[in-house]
Amino acid sequence: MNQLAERYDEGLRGGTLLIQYCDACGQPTMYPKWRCPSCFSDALSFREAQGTGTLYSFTVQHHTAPTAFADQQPYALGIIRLTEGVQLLARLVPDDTGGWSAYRCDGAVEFCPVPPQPPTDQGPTAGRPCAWFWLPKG
Amino acid sequence: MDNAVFVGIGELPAGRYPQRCFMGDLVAVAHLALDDAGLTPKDVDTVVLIPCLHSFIDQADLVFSRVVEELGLSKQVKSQFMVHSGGSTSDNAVRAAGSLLCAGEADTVLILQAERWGSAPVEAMIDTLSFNGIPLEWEIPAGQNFNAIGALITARYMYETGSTPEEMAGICVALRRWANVNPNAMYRDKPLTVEQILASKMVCEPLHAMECPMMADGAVGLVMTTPDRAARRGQDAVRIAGTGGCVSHYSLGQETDLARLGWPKAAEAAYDASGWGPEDVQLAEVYDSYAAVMAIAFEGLGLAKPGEGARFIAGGETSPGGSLPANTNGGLLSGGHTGVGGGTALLAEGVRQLLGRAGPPRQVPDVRRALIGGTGGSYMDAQVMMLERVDARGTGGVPATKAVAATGGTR
Repeated sequence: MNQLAERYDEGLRGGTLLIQYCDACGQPTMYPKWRCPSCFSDALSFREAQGTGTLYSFTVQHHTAPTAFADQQPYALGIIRLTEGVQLLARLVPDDTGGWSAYRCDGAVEFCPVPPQPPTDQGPTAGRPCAWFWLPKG
Repeated sequence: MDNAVFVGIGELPAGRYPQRCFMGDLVAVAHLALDDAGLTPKDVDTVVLIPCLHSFIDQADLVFSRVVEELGLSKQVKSQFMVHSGGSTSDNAVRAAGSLLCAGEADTVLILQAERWGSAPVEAMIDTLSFNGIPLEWEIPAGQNFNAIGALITARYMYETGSTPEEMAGICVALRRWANVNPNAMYRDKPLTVEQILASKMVCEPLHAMECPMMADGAVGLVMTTPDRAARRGQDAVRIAGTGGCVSHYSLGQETDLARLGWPKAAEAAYDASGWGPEDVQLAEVYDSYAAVMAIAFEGLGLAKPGEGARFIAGGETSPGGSLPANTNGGLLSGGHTGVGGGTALLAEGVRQLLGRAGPPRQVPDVRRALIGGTGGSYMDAQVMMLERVDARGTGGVPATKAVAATGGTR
């Protein structure tokens, strides 16, 4: 893995979702990049995300997952639109029903700092964390 | 692309053919395409190769001129190279080949594609599909894969348009009707109903198993040359009236308009370049690895009203006898998903229809203008190509728009 991914992963392991910001123009960038895609500056730094956003789209994977993820099925993937205006792909925590039927497109979601499931220990990204989101509590 | 035309195509049946082999299929379609064009390997000065995904060793053979040697073209061919942009490769291969012809860098180009997905081990293929074209740093750790990509697009499309599961399944049925009249289609002899699809197991919500493309072996060849050469040989040909393209994202998680993708921008450029409007399109061959992908393209291309793509296709408008025949080979979903070759097969079908060589009952009567739409990776781009028949004697390229009614009866 490269330095950008290492720094991002380090954040996730510590329960923090990081967003990269351009020091020159202030533009947030997701995923982390080597140059600001807006003003092309190479002065970029990480800040903690607010952890709030909406669910742009989601799916529940029952079959045909890559072999490294086969044991984790069913699992849900969602595209999250963060309040900061950037997007990412994340896993969704099962809702109170034990499934994902309470999730809705454009519904509110929040970053879950403690994933309910460890990363897969197989495949090319064995042991690497990913961001998890859940429905706002209360 | 005024100095480039298609003059021949070749294709082998798609499906599971363990007895066929990669290089044998490439050589076979090369000869089929050249025969169709009335040419021989001696006429070829440039070979453009579309990659396979089943094996990097076989793909390396494409890069390193094995096809030239196998076809007996050593010390004859000026240039051979591979073009690769995943599912939209055929669009970019034509862009490359056509540009070489227009620049005078090539006289006769042979474009070749073969894939062995149908005969490769399924688990290995699923893994290859999950680690190619999906960001290893940012999306693989979450378990992203191509059925999930199709599902995420489909879910948003259904949410925004109110399209129902029955309507999405109806697109697959519409494609199957064409596959049932295409002897080269993987599902040529199997009918399909909405009920069957919705009763098949849920793979990746909202996609059922029968809404996911089936990986297939397949091979396609195309021959391109200059209009002068085609005219001298008295050949019917197909010209490129205009193209447009838009690369919209790499990671699906970064796409901000899942229910539109790059289609509106690519369509606008292609319509501008050709002088056509959506009303000039008589036939469409548009990438369809998932039903929503085709519906979204149809809307972006102006071939269906915004939000109505799924209902338009499911309602039979693109099926045999419909107002706008589309994916007349059965598409990827029913013709077979031959990897990078799915788009190539749609392109070949468009050229075949314009040359009037699809045969009954599949041949669309009097068709002169076709739109080809392609996309690759996680639907990272939208590629649009406007193709038009040029008669051996007389003119193609009559001014576009409203001339359609006057062009009937020629075949």
